[in-house]
Amino acid sequence: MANLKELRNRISSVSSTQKITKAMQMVAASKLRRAQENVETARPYSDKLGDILKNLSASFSGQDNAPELLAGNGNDKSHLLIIATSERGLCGGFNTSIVKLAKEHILQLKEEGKEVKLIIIGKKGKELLQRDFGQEIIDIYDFSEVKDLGFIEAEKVAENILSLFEEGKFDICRLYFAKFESVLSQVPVCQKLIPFDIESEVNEEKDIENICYEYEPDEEDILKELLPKNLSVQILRALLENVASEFGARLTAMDNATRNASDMIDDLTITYNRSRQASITSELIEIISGAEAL
Amino acid sequence: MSSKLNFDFVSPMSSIFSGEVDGILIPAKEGDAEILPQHAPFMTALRIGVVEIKLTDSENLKFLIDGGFADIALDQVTLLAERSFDLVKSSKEDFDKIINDIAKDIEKSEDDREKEDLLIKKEILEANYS
Repeated sequence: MANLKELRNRISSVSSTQKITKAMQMVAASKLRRAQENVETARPYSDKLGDILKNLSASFSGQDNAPELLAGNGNDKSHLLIIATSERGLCGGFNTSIVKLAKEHILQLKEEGKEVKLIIIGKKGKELLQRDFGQEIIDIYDFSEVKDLGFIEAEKVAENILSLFEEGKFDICRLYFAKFESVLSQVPVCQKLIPFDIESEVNEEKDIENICYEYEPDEEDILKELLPKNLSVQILRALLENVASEFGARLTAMDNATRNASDMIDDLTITYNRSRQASITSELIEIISGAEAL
Repeated sequence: MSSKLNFDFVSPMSSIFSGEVDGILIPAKEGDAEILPQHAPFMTALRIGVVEIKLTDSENLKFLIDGGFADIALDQVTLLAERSFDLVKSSKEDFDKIINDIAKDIEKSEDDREKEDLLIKKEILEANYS
């Protein structure tokens, strides 16, 4: 049986860990609220943009002159995967689940003989992917210095993607992030950015579909401006969803850790008390038997 | 027949304005346009300029935008703009700060078109500075 001093030290170290996890849990909870608000305020913009794009792209479907960002450039040899992860750890399975989904796709694409390129957002993703796919990574974004992720960061990433696309460095672009569903559930998702995925943007409301619009300048020019914008907005949305998911995941992870710590403290305290009792008993027995021997 | 427009003005980070208005002046790519109730369905790209929202006869809101999009359909107007600056409610300090920032950007900028855009912005800001 461990000696008493050791046990005492264990208990105090576990309880100081518990204090840390408890504090992290509370910080995550308060940051989560803000992140959630950000996600909700960003939604109308991206939804409206999606609606407009959907209306516009309907008039282009099946035509040859559709912009490449909308219809793709006709190839599917080279794939660019953008993997958005968090900057900090201690958030449960958040990063691993995104990376796992991405890894599955990478291996699948490689099996099909496609070329894979990776852009990683976030330090944690880099740590998880560098060993296996270090060769494929073409760019890493580190936003750990940025306090509030916003449009500027999203635009940076989008501009880079656009210039790569124009240079013909890739044909199809996908984005991986964790969608924030609730505090308890964050779902890793894969979203197709280029070519524009019309299917996923379809909303239930269809009341505006039959309006005959006038366009100024014409449809093609509007699309040319809208599509790059849509890219930044989709990335922004992914970043915001990711932030909210990260805090959600951290909240749950830290809540579990705090509870585990208190279970551990309970167990240790019982062991501590038992061994203290045992040592008292054995001391007493020694004294009594000593007295009897006289 | 309604005599009001439903207007939503959204940016990626927030909803700037949402409600019923009498009319809106927008800086469309091919010339300023005023949107009144019962306007024909219309979609346009916007350039740098001022969006004027007419709440009532005497009450107006003005925003400087960096370009964006407007979608007008059946008395429902949606305006999307990434960056906007409130020309009515902003304080003197805000004006000073943004004008300073733009002046710095103008110095740094090497692209003529970009410079021109920034100059337009600066002029608009200075005209509304009071």
